[in-house]
Amino acid sequence: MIKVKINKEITEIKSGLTMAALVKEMQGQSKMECITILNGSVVVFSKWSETIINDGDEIEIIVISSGG
Amino acid sequence: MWSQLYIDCNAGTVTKAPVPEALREFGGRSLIVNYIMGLVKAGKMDPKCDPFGPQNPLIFCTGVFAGTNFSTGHRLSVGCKSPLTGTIKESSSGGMVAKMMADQGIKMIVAAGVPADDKLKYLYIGKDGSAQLLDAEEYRGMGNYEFGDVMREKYGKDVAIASIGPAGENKYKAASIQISEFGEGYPSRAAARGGVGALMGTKGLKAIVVDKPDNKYKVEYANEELFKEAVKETNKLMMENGQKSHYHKVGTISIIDGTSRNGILPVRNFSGDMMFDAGEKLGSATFLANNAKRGGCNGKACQPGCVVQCSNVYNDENGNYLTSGFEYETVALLGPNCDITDLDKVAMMDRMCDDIGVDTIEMGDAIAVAMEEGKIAWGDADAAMALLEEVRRGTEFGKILGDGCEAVGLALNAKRIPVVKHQSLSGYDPRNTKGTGITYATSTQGADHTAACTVGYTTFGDYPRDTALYVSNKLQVAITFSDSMMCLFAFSQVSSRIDLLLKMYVGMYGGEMDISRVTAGLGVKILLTERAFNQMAGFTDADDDLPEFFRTERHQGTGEVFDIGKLEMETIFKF
Repeated sequence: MIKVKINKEITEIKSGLTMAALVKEMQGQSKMECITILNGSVVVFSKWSETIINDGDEIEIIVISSGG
Repeated sequence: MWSQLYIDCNAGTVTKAPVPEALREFGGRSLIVNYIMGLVKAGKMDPKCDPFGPQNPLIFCTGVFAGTNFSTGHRLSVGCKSPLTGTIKESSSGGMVAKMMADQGIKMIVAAGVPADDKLKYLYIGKDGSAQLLDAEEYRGMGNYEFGDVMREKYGKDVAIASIGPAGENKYKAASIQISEFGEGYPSRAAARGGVGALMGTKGLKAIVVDKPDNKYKVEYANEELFKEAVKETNKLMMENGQKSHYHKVGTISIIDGTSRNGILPVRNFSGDMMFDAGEKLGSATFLANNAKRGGCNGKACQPGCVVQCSNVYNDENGNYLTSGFEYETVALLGPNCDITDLDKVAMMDRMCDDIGVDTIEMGDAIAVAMEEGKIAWGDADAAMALLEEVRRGTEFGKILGDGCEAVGLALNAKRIPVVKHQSLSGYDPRNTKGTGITYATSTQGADHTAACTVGYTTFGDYPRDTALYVSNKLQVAITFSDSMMCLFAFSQVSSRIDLLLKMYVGMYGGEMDISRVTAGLGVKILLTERAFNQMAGFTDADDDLPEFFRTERHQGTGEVFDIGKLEMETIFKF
């Protein structure tokens, strides 16, 4: 297990998780679309599967709603 | 006591009077429909009237909590019978004008009648509260950016400005009214939809310029203690939730990251194709990276006191200001919907639209239709900009484009014209967000995502079909009452605490602590009154539908069609 911050909360997750796997775990059944920010930079969707979460990372997972 | 300014455009006079008692507890969308229905009941306005004729008033008003420290309580609502749709219209905007009106003690400004001559004027409300109509002929044809600069040069940096560009002066039905932002005063906020700018042009009004008053108006409360207690809690909640949201962290541009993946993003005139890389080329990553390199920003407030702060400034590659208030709808419709994936080019088009004074949604849809019909090539951003320049210059095609998507479609004999009640669809494909599709079809305002876009309120783009009608119904009511109070993005942060909004309402206006005053009084009743106006104007249930192609052409990415039945949709306003 590793310790990371997800949306400012310190959380323990399995080591070796990709961003795609983490998002899937966080979303559960909701299927809400989201953007992900890793250590201050947006991780684009096409990189989710190859982005490994490391110990101490700060991650923001932000659900998107409508507007504009 | 709040005041109203009444501009008699025919006589060229301005008079100030207290707001009528019957309108005291209304603001924003609820004030507009009540004012208009008051005219109808008094026999002064026929709902079937020509929107460009003397019976149609143009109303500018603040919300019910204007003048207070309620975050986002200074939205500006602009209302009339829409020149574009022929329905009732409330088009709202952030920016500084409503705040400055409230500081002046002005709740509403009504422009009535039409001028006897073709002279262009502007309304100037001075530091001493005086209001005068002044000659604006020298500003004719001027874009909104230059006009703002000239007014700040003349009156100082504190003035708030609502102005029209060449499109409004020429009475094009897609013309917007541009509103100056908090801070630098860029004219990048807009009451964009429904052609409200065309009506302002018909009134011979180039602008309303509101100066900072020497003596700020002091709001009267029925129970100031109660109001302050509730507003403190509401603002706190709004800040806690709002600053965690994508609105604050990135801005509404981030929405494209999701809609490009799930088929909600319109691509090539709502073709139903997917554009998976649009999120990366036009979304959060590109936007934030360019800002970091070029000195733009996000997390900016468009009005003082906003804690959500969804606005932005976007610079060009040399670090010079290009545009601001750069939003998802603009990017979606002038971008992928026109097969354009260059964020800088889309930003240039946004700047042009704000300067000319046209609705970016209507332009994005109209240009896409023109591309589909072979007028210009798909993805040709330079050709699209040349078309926008034609609107500014008033060429033969520029006049058609200035009248919006339906006008372009009809002129080019297009079969796929994405409009409802003559107004074009915003950045959500209704085949994959059926609740939003129901809203487009049934809204009293024409196709309008702000009336109740269900994306994000339910599972994003993939929720049980049967819940779509329920969600659109509930959300249309909720957004109707929030449109009288606050910004939609702020409302979504506190929508679970209507009790707090009620407390504020009672603190401000007194009366019973009865939630139905908000949900029914400012929600259901307003929706039904708007619908009654539309029916008197000649609209029927038959008008509450989407263009046929959404029912017959399957979305290539998801295989979906819009399959909510007409009869089902007719039940939406049976409360």
